[in-house]
Amino acid sequence: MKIKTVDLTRIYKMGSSEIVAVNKVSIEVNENQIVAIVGPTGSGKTTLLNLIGLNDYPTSGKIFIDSIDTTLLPASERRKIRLFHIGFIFQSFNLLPTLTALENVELPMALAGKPEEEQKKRASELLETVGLSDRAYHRPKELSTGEMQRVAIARALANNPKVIIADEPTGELDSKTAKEIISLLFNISKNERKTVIAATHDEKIVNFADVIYTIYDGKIKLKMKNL
Amino acid sequence: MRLATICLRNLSHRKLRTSLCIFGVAIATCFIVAVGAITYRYVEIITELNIFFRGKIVVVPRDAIVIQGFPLGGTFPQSAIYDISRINGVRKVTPMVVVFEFNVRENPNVIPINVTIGLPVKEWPLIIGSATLKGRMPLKNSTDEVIVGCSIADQYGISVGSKINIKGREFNVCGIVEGPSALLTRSIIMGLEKAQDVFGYPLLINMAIVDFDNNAVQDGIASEIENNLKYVMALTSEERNILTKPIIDFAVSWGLTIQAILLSLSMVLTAIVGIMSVSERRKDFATLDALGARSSYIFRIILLENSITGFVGSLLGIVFGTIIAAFLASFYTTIPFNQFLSSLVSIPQPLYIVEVIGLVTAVCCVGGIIPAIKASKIRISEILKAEY
Repeated sequence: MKIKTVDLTRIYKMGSSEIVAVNKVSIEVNENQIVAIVGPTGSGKTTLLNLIGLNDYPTSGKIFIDSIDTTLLPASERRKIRLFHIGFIFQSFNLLPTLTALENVELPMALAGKPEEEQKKRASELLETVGLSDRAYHRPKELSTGEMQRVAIARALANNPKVIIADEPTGELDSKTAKEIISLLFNISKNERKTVIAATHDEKIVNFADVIYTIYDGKIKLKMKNL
Repeated sequence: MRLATICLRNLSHRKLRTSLCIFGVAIATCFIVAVGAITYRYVEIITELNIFFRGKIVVVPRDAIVIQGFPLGGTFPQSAIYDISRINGVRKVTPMVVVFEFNVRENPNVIPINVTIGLPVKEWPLIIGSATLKGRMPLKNSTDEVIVGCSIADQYGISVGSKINIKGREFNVCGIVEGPSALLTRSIIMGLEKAQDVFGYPLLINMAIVDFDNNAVQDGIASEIENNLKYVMALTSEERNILTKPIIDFAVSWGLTIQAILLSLSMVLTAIVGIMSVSERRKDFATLDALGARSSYIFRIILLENSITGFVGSLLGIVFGTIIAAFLASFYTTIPFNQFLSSLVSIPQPLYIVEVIGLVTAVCCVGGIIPAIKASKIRISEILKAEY
């Protein structure tokens, strides 16, 4: 899945003032690439990921996914792309607190209308992949932060999406756990040939990335390729 | 994973709030059931009074309040019977004394607790009709025998052959009559002269039943009775229904008003709790949206949660409401509470129970519409923007 943004801009209105969170950003993400978006807090990383992940509408500019201009798509089509083609990993995990780890992983498949047996089987396999098969019936509050992020990774992979969008996936983890999560995320991505776009401060992620974009005050300042 | 699983988990996750909300709905339902069951029974009792004297003319004092032909207050001379019987087409006239007892523990009450009916012994089948009678009819011209309704008999431990004392006079119970009319179950039937003596109606009556020839016109006879005797009303079956309709309408509209208020309160309660719940779970709904959930899916979560709350609350409310209805009925009629226990399941009618469950569940579901709209509009971008 190829993603391209052209002059992407997102302006938030706060009373009478305007905040330009993303300012004319043009980037390209090729299939199976790992892309890191780095920058200080408030630089616009999360806003950019929300736009690319079709969770928000740009004020101006275009987002092309496989040459389709997503800004012209109706909400229902954007939702289908999110459901079937994009997996999300959030900094604060965003697991549903009332569901068990297994049910959290089943959730995207339930939303996609997959049969219950298939949901359970796939969710169990994914939990095994992230090393949490023994914690399947625990609720998020019974899991450590590292375990929660593993569940979030499994959930992101549930519908076998082509793109994983990770917003500061190691932001709330200690360095040891962060290292484990990074290797897990990128190993799975490499093995299953996923495109990963990750916003991060974490150097370890940057080391894994094929392409690194540096964002500052909503503008892309630098593009680098890891050799 | 089913939608219901998510909803039940959400509800059980916030146990205290869910319990309080269910409790609130249960209280509202409880009073809906109590008011509804009492109103329903009240209307049923009034309506079923019409099974008496069907096809006959009932003569009552002009100044009496009349419920389905039974007068409250007023008397007229017994000699009127002879004047009525002389009217062309009248076959038979039966004099009656009907006394409603309104005193509960020496305090006046709006609902009569029992009724004494006095009429000539040979005419007792007119009242008893096809009802089941334990014991026997009184001996001809017997003046100290009475038949009592089964509810009074159960309440006071009366059986056939018992002696009872009514206003200082002693009577032998020769029979106990059972249903189908609630009036009969709370009746004491005695001879006319005895009733006039006991209740101080010397040569006075407050009701007369007029039977007429098959070829006679009912309305014509009724008009002639009223023309000849200015102090009475002669009521045909239809007129009795018309006179009673406003009383039934009042009872029904009073009951419906109370129920509508309580249903509205349930709706407001569930809406408030729903809005609070959505505010707390903004992140969860935003996550669902980010994962690709349809707005309708999120919408249904809230509606289903509210419906479950309403359903459980209505079930609990029906149980409590039935007990309260029985307690109120016991309090206002002096019939011991334990006598209602055996028939507790039939206090609210099955159809009424289904209606209440359906209505409360639907109202709580409607109460979830505003929170559901709010929940389905939450977007992850707003949540993340607020987080960082």
